[in-house]
Amino acid sequence: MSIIEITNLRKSYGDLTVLKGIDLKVEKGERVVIVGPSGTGKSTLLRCVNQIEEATTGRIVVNGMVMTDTKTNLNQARSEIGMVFQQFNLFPHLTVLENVVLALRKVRKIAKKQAQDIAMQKLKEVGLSDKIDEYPNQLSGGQKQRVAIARALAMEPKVMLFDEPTSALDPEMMDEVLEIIKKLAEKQMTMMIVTHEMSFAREVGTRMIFLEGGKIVADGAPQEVMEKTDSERLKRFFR
Amino acid sequence: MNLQQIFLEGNRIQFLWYGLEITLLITIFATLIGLVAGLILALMRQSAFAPFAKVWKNFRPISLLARIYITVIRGTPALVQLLIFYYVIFGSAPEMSKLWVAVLAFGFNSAAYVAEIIRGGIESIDKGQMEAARSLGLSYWQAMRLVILPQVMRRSLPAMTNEFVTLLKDSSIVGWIGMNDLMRGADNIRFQTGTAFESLFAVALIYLVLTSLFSWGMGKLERSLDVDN
Ligand SMILES: Nc1ncnc2c1ncn2[C@@H]1O[C@H](COP(=O)(O)OP(=O)(O)O)[C@@H](O)[C@H]1O
Ligand SMILES: [Mg+2]
Repeated sequence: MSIIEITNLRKSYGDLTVLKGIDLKVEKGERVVIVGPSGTGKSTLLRCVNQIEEATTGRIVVNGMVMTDTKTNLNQARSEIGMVFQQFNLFPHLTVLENVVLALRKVRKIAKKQAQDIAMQKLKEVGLSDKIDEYPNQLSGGQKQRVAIARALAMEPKVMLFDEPTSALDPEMMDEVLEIIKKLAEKQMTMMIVTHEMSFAREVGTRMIFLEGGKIVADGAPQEVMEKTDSERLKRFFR
Repeated sequence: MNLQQIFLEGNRIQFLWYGLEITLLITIFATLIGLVAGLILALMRQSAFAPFAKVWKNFRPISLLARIYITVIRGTPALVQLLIFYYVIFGSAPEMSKLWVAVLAFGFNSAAYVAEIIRGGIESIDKGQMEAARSLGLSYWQAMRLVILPQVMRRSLPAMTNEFVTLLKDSSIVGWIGMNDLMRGADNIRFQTGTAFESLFAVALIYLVLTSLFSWGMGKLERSLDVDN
């Protein structure tokens, strides 16, 4: 079974239908890059995967758990799906270490000392061992995003969702974040990544999906999707 | 009459000290009730519980109840509420001490204002905070308790300070149910001495000192907690 299975997903906000029937299977270890013009529902698709946005209709299965079933323990299911946001969404009232420790303690119920050890390890992996006692507002954008990645990774997720992880960053800070994602890719982490960074997309993605008007209009190897010339709109987008 | 005659003869200044004690007791206990009840009320108001969602989407009874309570309390004078508490709600319980009637009346009054402050605070927190918390697997209540409310409390400190100051000043109407608070203490001196200026200015000064001290202390606390901007 695929690690993510989306079947006929539709999502509407009132009269506005954003996702108009998405079918998508992601295999373990695949790195799916999602591209497309803004406002087409890329974020919405990602947010439906862990159901922080409720699907209107359709079925979503992640790690064998049916996310769209009301009987599923969504908190448990979400704790195995890491998500990284464009705006970082660090908790400003907690230190860097506390940001990473929080869910380990409260969701995984891991003892304080052990949770701190895990958090330190993850922060070390993103190169922020020296920032553990700082508050988010004392960090640069790139550092914030690395903390956010460490926070997600501390839960040992089986899938990672990235929603434009570098869009809010100054160009000189993008690389430090992209490098970490590339390292994750080397470790065969299953990922869905929304991005506008085409060279990064080509490098890290094993597969590219082009979303437009709430539908998947192209799906294949990144090179292939980017070179496909049968759609004028695609061409315009990649130019 | 000079000041010494007005305040010290017959130990009249005792009216003020005793009144001050009553005023502070009412304010402190009512504030505590206001905070707890206000928080509960604010969370009720946020409640999305909709038992008939299929046929009647916008009917959220818990939220509605909270909204009605808040509207009624904020839309009627505190004095009317105090008198209703005293004469109607506890009218049949004469053994109930007036202090507790006043504490409850002001506490439940303050709760409505506190609830609005907290609601405003919750709405001012970026939606991404709740989403990030939920994406990590925290439940709604965990996210509220551990992520949202701590930020709300910090942000609403100035408004809460205001609310406490208002409560302290508003408690001056408890003379209406025969309590001898600070205000009534000044009135007693005024009646006994036939002078108005001294006693009224004395009591005004005491209120002013109390509210200023409190605002100053809260201001210090605010600055020491100011980590997120
Ligand atoms: N909570 C919401 N309420 C109403 N409309 C929304 C909401 N979230 C997103 N939308 C709309 O859905 C569409 C797709 O949004 P989004 O998924 O963020 O697009 P993308 O990430 O591709 O830029 C946009 O038109 C946006 O305005
Ligand atoms: Mg988006």
